[in-house]
Amino acid sequence: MSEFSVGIRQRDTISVLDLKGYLDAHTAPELEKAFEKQLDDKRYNIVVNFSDLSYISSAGLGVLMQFIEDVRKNEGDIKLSNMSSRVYNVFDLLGFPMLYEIFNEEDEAVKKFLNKTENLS
Amino acid sequence: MNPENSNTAQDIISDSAALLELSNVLNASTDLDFILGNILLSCMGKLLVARGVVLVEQGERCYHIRSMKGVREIEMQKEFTLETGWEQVQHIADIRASESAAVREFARCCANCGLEIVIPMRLDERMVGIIGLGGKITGKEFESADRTFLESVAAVAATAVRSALTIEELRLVNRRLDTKVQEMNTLFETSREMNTTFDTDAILRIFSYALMGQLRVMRFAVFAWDGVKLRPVLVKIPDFAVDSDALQSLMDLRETILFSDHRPPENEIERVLHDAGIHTVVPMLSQNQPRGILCLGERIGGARFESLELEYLHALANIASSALENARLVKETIEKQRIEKELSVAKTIQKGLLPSDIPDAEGYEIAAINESSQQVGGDYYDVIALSDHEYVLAIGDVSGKGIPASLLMANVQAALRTIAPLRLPLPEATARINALIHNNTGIDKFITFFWGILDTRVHSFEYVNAGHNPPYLLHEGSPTRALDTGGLILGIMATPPAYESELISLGEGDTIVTYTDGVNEAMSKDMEEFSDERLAELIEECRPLTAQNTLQRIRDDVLAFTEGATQSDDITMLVLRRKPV
Repeated sequence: MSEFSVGIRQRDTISVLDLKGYLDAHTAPELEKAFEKQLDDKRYNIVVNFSDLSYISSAGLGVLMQFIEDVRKNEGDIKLSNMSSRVYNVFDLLGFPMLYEIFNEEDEAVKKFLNKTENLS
Repeated sequence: MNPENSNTAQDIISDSAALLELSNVLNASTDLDFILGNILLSCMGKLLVARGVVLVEQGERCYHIRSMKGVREIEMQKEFTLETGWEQVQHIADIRASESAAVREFARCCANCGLEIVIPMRLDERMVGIIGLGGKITGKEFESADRTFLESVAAVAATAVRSALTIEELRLVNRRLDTKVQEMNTLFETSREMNTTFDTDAILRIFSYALMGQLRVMRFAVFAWDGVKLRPVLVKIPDFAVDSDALQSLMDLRETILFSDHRPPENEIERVLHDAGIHTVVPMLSQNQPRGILCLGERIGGARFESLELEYLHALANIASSALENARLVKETIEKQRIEKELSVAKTIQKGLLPSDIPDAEGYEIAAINESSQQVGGDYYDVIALSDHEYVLAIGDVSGKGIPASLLMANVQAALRTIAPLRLPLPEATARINALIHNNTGIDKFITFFWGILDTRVHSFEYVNAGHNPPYLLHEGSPTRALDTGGLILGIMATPPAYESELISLGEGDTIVTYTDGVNEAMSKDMEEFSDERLAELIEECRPLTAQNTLQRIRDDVLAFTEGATQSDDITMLVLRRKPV
C-alpha cells in the first residue's frame, strides 16, 4: 500500500505543509483534509514543502487546484518549494508553473509572504 | 581584378577571425534563440545594419520567424511556405518579381519592415533558414565582400542552426513522450482507483482530481444516466442551472463538442450550455453506450485542448463512465438483494404469527388459508380457544407491506391475545385493541379488523367489524348477507366513536366466510378485478360445502381467474361452519 503523510507547521502567519511519500488518487484525500483544515482555521498563506515527496500524480495537482481559488479569494496563496526534479517534471508537463510560484527553498517562499505582509502594513 | 571590389588582406584576416569566433560561439550552444541572436548581432555589427530577422525551417519548407532585432512594427506573417530557396544573397528588390506568389508575398513583407537583403542558410542542398537584413545605416550599398562575408556567416550558422533545431525537436518529442507517459500513468491510476470502489462519491472525487490536476479544468458538471434519466451527479460550477432533462438530447452525442468561433452552438441546448460558460461537452460512454455527459468550463491558463489531450479526455470520461455505471449496477443488485432478504424476513414473521394448529371446536368446522404474495401483504388471522366452548376468530389486514407490516401484525396479535381473555364486552375490547395499536404506531399505520366470539354451547357468534371487508353469512333459508356491524378501522383515532357488535345465531350448516382484499381484488392478466359480485355469487354456491371445501373452491376459482398473474396482496381466508347433523 502506498504511504503518504502531511505534516503541518506554523511559521509566523504561514502554514507549511510537509508532504511525505507517495501522493496519488489514493492518498490525495489526506492532502485534501490538510488543506480543508487550513481553510477552516482561516489560514490562507500556505507553503507546500515537497522535499520528502517521492512521487506525485495529477490527482495531487488536482487537490492544489481545488483550493487555490478559495485561498487567493482570501488574499492568500499556495506557494510550492523543494521539489525533486521528478516531481517538478510533472508540474511542468501539466503546465502548472504558470499557475503557482515554485521556489527552490521553503525560506524563499516564506520570505515572499512576509515581504508582502510588510508592504501592506 | 577591380580594385574597388577586392578585399584587402587585412579585411580577409579580420573576417576570418570574426567567423572563427562566431563559429566557436555558435557551436558551443544548443540554444536556438541564443544562436540566432548571435548570428544577427555579428552581421549587424560587422556591416552596420540596424535591423535584422531570422527565419528557421520548422516543418517541410515552412519558415517561421524566430529572431528579430531592430524590427519593431513587424508586419510580417509568422510563417511562410517557400517552395524554392536561394543559393546566394538576394536583394529583396530582385525577388519581388519572382514567379512564385509565396516568394513575392515574402518579399513584400520583408520590404514592409525595412529589410533589403536575404541570406539563405544552406546545408546539404537544403535551406534551413533565412537571415534578413535592413540596409546599412551609412546608406552605402552591400559590396561583394559583404556578400561573401554574409554567405560565410550563413554557412557557419546553418550547421549550428540545424543542430539546435534537431535538439529542440528531440526535446519536444521527449516532452510529448513524457506527457504521454504522464497521461498513461494518470489513466492507469484513475482506472485502478475507480475500479476498486463502488462508491459513487469516491469515483467522482477521483474524476475531479484528474480533471483539475491533469487538464486544469476547475469548473465542470457530470451528468450520469441512472437507468431512467440523466441526473447531475457532480456540479462544480456556481449558479449552474441547466436542467438535466434538457441535456437528454445530447445523449446521442458521440464526438466531443469544443465551442469556438469555428464551432458555435448549433441548437438550443448547446446555446444554453455555452451561455452557462461551458467550453467543452464530452459524451461519457461505457462499452460504447452513452451513459452520461461531461460539461467542462474554461481551462485555467486558457489553452485549448490539443488532440493528444482530447484523446486523454475521452479515455478519462469513458473510464469514469464505466466506473459510475458499474457502481450503479452494483447498488441496484444490492438493493434488490436487500428487498428480497427483507421479504423473506417478513414472510418468516408472518408465518410465525399465524396459528399453526386451529383448535377443534365441537360441532364446528374451522378452516383457514394464507398465501402470501411476492411483497408480503400483512394479512393476519387467528383462532384462540378461550374455554372448551368459546373461541375467538379474527381476521385483519395491516396497512403497508414487508417487515413494517409484519411487525404491526405482531402488535395486533399481542393486543388481541392480551385483551380477548379479559372477557370484556366486544365493543369495549375492540376499543382497547384500537387504543393499544394507536399508541404504538404512527397515524399512517392502520388495520382493518374483523373478530368475533363463537359459543359452541348456545351456537352464537358475536362480532365487531372494524372496517374490514364484510364477511358473508350463509344462513339456512336466508339470502347471503354481509356482516358489517362495527366501526372505524383500528389505529387511526385514539378514541373513535363507540364500536357496535352484532350477535347472530348459527343454525346447522350455517357458514361464515371471512377474507381479505387479496381475494376480491385479485387481478387477472388483463388487469380485471375478481370483484365483490363474483365473490358473493361464488360463496352462494358454497352453501352445501364443508368449511375446508368452501375455502378450496374459492381459492381454486381465484387462481383460475388470475391465471398465475403476480398478485400484489396476500390471499387470506377464514371459514367457520356449523356442522349439519
